Amino acid sequence: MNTAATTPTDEHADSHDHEHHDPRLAHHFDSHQQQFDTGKLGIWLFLVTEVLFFSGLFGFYAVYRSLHPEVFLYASQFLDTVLGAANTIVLLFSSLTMAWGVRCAQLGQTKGLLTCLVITLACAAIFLGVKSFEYTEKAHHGLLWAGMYQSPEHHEAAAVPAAAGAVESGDHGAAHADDHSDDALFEKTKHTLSYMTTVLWAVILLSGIGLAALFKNPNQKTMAAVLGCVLISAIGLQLGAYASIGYHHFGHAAEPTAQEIEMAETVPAEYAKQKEKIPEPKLAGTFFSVYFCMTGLHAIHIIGGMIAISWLIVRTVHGAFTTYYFGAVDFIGLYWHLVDLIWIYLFPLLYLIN
Amino acid sequence: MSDHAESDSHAENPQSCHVHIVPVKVLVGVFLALVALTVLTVEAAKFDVGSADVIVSMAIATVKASLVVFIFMHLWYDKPVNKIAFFFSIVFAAFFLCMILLDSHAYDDYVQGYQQDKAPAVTAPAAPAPVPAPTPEAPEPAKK
Repeated sequence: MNTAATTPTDEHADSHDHEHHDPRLAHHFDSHQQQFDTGKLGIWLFLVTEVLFFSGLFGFYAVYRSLHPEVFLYASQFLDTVLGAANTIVLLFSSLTMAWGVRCAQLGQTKGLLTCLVITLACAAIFLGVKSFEYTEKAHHGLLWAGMYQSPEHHEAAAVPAAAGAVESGDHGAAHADDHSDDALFEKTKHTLSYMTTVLWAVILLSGIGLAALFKNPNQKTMAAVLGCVLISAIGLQLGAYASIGYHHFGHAAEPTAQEIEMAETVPAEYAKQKEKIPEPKLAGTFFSVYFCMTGLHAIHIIGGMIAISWLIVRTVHGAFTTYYFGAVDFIGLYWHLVDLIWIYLFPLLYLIN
Repeated sequence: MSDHAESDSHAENPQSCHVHIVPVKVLVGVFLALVALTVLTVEAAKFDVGSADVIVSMAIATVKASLVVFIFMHLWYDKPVNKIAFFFSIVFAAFFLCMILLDSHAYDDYVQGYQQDKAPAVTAPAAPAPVPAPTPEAPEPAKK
């Protein structure tokens, strides 16, 4: 990265007077302090553009929610609050380790920095794993963006054939008679997810190779570090996905005791449906457009952050960071905290609508 | 483990870079506070407080965001130029949101009139609800 600044044939060589040049200091800076401050201003300006970039989507959300609150009320019941909260805590923890890593870098503790970065990367992967479970589940339930959205009412119509005539989308109900019960959908979700994680392994492996190709003169250390990052990401993803599958299993076993049994025993089926259900609004699909746009863009930022953190890990393994040169760690840390910050707002806005 | 790394550094020394270093205790404390606030916001969402719901959850989210920005992102100890840059991005984002909300509600009357005109034609075949619902969308803008 710093090769341009250190080449002996540098034509600006006359501009600096010390004969041995610090490879960590770009030639156009007087001191590390100046280099750091400049970089920091740069990254803050980038974060400003990120905030404004996301504010467009938040605007979409705000306008739509203020015009059609009933859509959000209806559709957010399909989002799993527990998974969302777990993901929030995973992301907050990764923020902690990132901030701790920055501290380690500032103090020149390479081992601590490496540990913190690895944990951060793993947490990011777990976050994506949980997210992929949520996306897969929604896809199987037909809860997609506006054009692809299928009313969830028809699953229930199929699951309870007796009540099929009563619900509004009864015309869909007959077509998919058998395969839309909750358990069948869950089985499908699991199947797709195991298939998808295989694909993800391939994608991660390819991106790992791509990342390795970016380094000039890769040596064994670099390759080992890249391989480690790839493995951490892949294992984290699977961990996240299977943890949420496990949670779903567990939740299915535990949940009926609370409300469903009472509901099923005390009131007749149609009455219960009429009473507990908020009627489906016409534009429910648009909520999922908002959902997929916002969380999808956020997930892309997570992936970008994971690539950046992997790069940091490789450089840390090479001992690039010292007490006076830790800018890259700090800047990527700032970016990572911003991604966390956006999730802090997304979580209550999407999952916690009462 | 000191608060500042600048024990032996001088401004002239190019091999130094002084910044504020956040102690581990503060970092862990902030993390615990963030987790507590997450639990709080999940629990708060279970109570039905009507339209104050959004305000409560956004207030909690803003407290969390401030903790992250000021401590994890060191903005509290940062140079004024960075503070100003970020502060104004938030201000303008808020301004942007307020403006588009104002604008989209400026046409509420027209939309309501349009929906009332259209209502008998549309709601009659689709009407699922037990309530006769003459104009299902009509009371919505009033809620906000």
